[in-house]
Amino acid sequence: MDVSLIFKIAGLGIITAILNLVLIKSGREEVAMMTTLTGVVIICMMVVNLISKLFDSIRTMLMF
Amino acid sequence: MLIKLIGGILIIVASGAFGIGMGNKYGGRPKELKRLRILLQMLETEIIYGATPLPFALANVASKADNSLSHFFQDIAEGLIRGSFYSVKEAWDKAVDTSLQDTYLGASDKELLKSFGGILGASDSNDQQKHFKLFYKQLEQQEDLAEEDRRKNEKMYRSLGFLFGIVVFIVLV
Repeated sequence: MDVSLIFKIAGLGIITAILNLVLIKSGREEVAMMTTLTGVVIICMMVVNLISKLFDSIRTMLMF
Repeated sequence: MLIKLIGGILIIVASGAFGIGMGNKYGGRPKELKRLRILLQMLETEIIYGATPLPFALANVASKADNSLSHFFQDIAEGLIRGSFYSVKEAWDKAVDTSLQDTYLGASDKELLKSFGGILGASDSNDQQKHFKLFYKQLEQQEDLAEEDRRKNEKMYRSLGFLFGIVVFIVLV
């Protein structure tokens, strides 16, 4: 487990927030929403492995 | 590590430059429309008060304009002086198509300019003055539209370029 992933997610979050702000300011609400969604999806793809690992370890811990 | 950093900086600079280029496209158009209007006002003065023949009036205006717009007027003036066209409209249309390539003017601006070419030099100075007045009004409307476009898009494209570069960098690292 490395810390760099957390920084990566934080950076993406900040950038997505700024993008959202810029796009809303120039009057493109729907594009702004799509970019936010894309950011969320990208971060989910980064995290999905870790979540599956977490589930696996919980399963083994509770001995299912 | 160092190579990664250099690559990241290259990506960010490249997409930032692309964004700035896109933004400049919107920033340049209202400026050029305004300059065009000022140059046409010079041309009007030459025609109405100076009573200069059209080819020489155009050449005079060209000498006062800067780069791309200067080429435009210069081309028309030279074409007319050399007599390589049958009418002003022909020379004007050809110049709009060829020498305005490297300006930021859009297709609608060029159509508007073309519609003016047929009027120039086709009637007496009183009538010309009226047509010039009308054309200024149309140009001003176009300027307002271009200005609105600029306000909406220029800043957005600039920041969008950089931000997109940073996103690519973060995702790839």
